[in-house]
Amino acid sequence: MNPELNDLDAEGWHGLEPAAKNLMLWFGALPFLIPIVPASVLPNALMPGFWGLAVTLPVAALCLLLGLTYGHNRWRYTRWRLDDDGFRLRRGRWWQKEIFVPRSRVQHLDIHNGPMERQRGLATLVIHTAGTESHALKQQGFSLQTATLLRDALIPETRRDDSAL
Amino acid sequence: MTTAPSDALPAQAELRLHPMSWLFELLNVLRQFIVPIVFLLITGKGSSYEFWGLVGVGFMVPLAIARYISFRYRIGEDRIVIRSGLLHRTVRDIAFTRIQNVTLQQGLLHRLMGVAEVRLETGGGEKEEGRMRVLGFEQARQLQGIIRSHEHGGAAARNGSPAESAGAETALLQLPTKELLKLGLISNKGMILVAAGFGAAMQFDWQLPEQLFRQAGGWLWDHSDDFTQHGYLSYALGVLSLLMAAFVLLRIISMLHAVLHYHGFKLRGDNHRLSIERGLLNRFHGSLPRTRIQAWTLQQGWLQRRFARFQLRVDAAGGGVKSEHVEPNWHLAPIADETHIAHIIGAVMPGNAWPVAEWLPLHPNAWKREFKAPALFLLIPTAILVYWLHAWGLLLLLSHPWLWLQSKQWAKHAGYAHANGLIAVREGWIGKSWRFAEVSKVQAVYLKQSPFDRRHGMATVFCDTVNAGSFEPPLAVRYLPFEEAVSLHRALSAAITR
Repeated sequence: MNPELNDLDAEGWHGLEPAAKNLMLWFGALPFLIPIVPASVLPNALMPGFWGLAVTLPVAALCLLLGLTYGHNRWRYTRWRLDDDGFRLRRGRWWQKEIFVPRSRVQHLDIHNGPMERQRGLATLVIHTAGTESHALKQQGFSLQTATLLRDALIPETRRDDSAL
Repeated sequence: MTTAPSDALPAQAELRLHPMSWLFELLNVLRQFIVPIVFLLITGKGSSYEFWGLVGVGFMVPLAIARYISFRYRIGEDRIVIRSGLLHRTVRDIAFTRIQNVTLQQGLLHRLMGVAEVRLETGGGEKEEGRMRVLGFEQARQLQGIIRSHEHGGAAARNGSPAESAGAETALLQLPTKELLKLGLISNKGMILVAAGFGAAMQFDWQLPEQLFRQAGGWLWDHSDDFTQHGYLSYALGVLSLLMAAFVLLRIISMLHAVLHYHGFKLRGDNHRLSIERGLLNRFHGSLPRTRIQAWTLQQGWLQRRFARFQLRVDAAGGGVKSEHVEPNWHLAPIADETHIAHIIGAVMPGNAWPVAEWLPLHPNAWKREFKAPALFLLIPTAILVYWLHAWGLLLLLSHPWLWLQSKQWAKHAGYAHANGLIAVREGWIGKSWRFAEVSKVQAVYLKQSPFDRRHGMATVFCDTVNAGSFEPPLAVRYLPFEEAVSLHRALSAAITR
């Protein structure tokens, strides 16, 4: 068995809030459910009855399965760690990645929480850097408290100097 | 402030643009109409009502003059204040230290009248902060000098001459016409220009390509009897020579473009910035502070290798990058040989980071990854062809040995380096590319592992930099052995926090 990125030095990594589990599950699954619409209209219009359903139902089941797996993995396999030098984020079950943003490269941070997140006491943290791919690293599933803590911890004590540019 | 030529540009006094500014203001508005008008005149298409639009131009002349009258600027101790607008007045106050770049642009008409368009670019935003259309060339040059002397807090400028604070300018690269012709020969610009021209023509007459195609095809059809009289060989020869002629023509257009665009190309550098001058008809004077240089791309295509030449460009951080005239990435060297390239890079980067002394190889199985994906993908068109043409479709599988050879060679040349404060990746076989950046310019480090990576015990390390062009190769080391990727990720993470 080949080494996995997610198995590296497992200590010190935190998971996301349990309260975020269902929210992330369904919101993660949502895009996967879209193909169900054409899959239920088209086959039933072309061949009504048994054969139409014979196409629709398996497709719908597959979409639901994929969506729920993805949604679940999104919550389950996201881990973060705050070090002295910066913030580390691990994501993904199949396509795994670890992102490291040093404190000195953080430009500013945002905390969002929409109505559904507010209801559960959750928040989304957005880390902005000057980079291209990492210009806005967005991660949902923090409690508002943790997000605020992270925001305060990641803002550099001295004002950011432009030497990063 | 001893450096300002006070008689020419008295501090605190309000100044106006060049008296002929209104003309350029007008031309700028007209520019959008000129192409359609000329096209209509030439082809004789379109009805007279399209010319009624020209009446509107009459109203634009007083507007342009009004704009000239209302535009004032004042050069202060440490800032420039621009007042503009007739009804809706704006006052813009730009501190010299915030100005990242001053470019002068001259078209043919500008040069005839001895004026230049000045753009003041600051760090943020997509558009330049101040645009002065137009200033006298000498005045523009002086303004450029004043602003540059205030760089880096302006402390040096107050104490001494700008020459002292910036250090002496040294020439890094000059391109004689011979080199430009080589550049034209190598580049495909001719093809792009012709395609763009075609596209523009189609906007006015969408049937044009069809008509041209029909005419050409019809001509070939009509004369096919003549050709076939002389045998198919001469027919084929005719078509071949036609293609050859088209190819030669495209190359000539490329060469013309290279000469027009890069004539008198000069790259110079002092302690703070690189400056570029180029252009035959349209003259461009731009400069780039060294601190704004982010990641570098070095490329060498097959033809360039025959000439032992490279192309070097950089991503620049911040302002004006997306403004219309300035290229999105700075071509520091459109064409240059190895020693010049090393000289340019060495002038910007501290230490002997380039050329890289030792390139480290990727995972021994990296070629398999590079081979498998296209090889498997090719099976789909092969299956379709087999269904359609039967056994003949299998001929497509002949591409697999080539793919195999290509991926083997690719892996042989691929490599990475992390030393002397530099992270570098090289890839490619027939066309090679190098992508590198100072580690201190890296904003975030990614460690990635796809399921395929996992199967082979590999991982990818990706470095995110500022304004990385979407057409540039990514600064990513792919197909690394997993352990090596992890330690590279750790090493880079530690290096950028420092």
